[in-house]
Amino acid sequence: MSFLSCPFPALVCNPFGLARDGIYGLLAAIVPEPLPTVALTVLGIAMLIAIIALTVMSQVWVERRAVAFLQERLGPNRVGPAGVLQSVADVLKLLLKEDLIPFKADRATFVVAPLVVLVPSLSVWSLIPWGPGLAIADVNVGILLVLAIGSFTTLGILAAGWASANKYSLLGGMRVAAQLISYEVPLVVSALVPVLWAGTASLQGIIESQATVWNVFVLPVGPIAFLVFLIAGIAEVNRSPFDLPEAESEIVAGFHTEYSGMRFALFFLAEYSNSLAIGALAAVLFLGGWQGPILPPYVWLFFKAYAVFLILVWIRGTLPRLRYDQLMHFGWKVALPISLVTLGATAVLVSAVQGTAA
Amino acid sequence: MVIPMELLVAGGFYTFAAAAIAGAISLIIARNVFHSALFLTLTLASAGGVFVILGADFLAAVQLLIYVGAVMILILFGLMLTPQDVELPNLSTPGQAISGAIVAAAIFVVSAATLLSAQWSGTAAEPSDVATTEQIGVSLFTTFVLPFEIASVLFLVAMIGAIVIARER
Repeated sequence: MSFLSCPFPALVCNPFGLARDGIYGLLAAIVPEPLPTVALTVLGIAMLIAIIALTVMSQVWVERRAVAFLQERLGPNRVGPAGVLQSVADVLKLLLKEDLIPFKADRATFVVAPLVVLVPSLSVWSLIPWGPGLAIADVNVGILLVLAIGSFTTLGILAAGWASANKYSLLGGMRVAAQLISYEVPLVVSALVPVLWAGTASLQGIIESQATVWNVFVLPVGPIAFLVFLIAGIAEVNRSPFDLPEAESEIVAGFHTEYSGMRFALFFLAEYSNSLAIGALAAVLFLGGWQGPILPPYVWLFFKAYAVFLILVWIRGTLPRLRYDQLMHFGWKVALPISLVTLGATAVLVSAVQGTAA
Repeated sequence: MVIPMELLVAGGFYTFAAAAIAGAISLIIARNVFHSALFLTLTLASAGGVFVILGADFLAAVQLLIYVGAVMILILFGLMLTPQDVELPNLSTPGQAISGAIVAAAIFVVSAATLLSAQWSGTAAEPSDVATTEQIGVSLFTTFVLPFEIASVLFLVAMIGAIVIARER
């Protein structure tokens, strides 16, 4: 396994695995099973959420600086060196802001909706493997479960749009529903290409199947499936050029028009977490996951996920927003047929390869 | 103090089961159609949780993907197009409450009697640790290929029918 190629001391190559085993050993000496396992899982989840929250703050700064660079502006550069602390200032500001709930809003739904968006976007991370044997939950229907959990986001956004009692929010919510349903189909179908190739739906299994060659380089289907996955992924996280749900020029801020303060920040956190999760999924499915030379596995996965996020930022800074009918046209008449043909071709290829091997 | 694994599993089951039942009851009690739909989502998602506890991982993922990800979204989509503050017309006739109560009681008695008189095997079935995805796939394409194809054709017919109805306007 390429994990062994990490030339540094074990503490650098596998700190999370060592910490896990160490803490487990300590706990197992004091309390009986399954308490150590449960405690360790809770600890792992807490750590993962902290890492994701910090990463999101870096993402916001990187995106603002990168888009500013693309547009020949400076971007945030006052708080801290080169503006790196801008996100900290933003979070403090959002925490202190008044939390408004519109008088005619449906209070309970309005309050719960951001959580329905945020919780799944964080839960997805518990399934992403960060190294060999290093995932909070390694299930054998991993990819299906990731996509299933991801679909909860739509529900929260719909509920937020409806509960706001604002026609722009409602329109934004409707747009999200239509868009996410349309693009979920090509996303799932193109994600099935690596599943067919690996012969398993487990994320670890898919990564291990790419030990010799990454799926994105498996000609002729790999690059096409990767491209469709990336485009559908951008649409799934509502980023430009597919950010019609929050098109400022048409429907104010879409589904989160009425949200302020920390509730608004929760939507933002979920959006950036989802962007990175799409990057991590793309890395797992097509870019070899945590595999890579010299550097430790968790660094590789993070690096690949962040690289895909940077591509999303680049696309955002480059392309204009699509019109709504163009979005639907592309989803159903271009992305879906391409992904279906790719899946069919992969099935033929896989059975041909297996036929010659057997 | 030793906490056996069975206790955790049972705790998980009762949590999901309680959530499913609470969602189902709230679904009927809720005055607002949109709230009812959200409670239905809770019930369906909790059923997915129960599948996880039973070791039916593929079924659980598909339950979430299809019901929460597609069916509920479409239902909510439809509800959002209907005005919020429209009072539903009261179509019930005076005697309806009584007859409804009688029918409900009858259904309850019959199902309770069936549940109580059924021969339950004493031990719970062991949750299989085998991956179910492959088994389901193989049985769909061998043993159950005819029902599977019939269901597919049925879906196709429904889809074409929906498009035809939508186009006539």
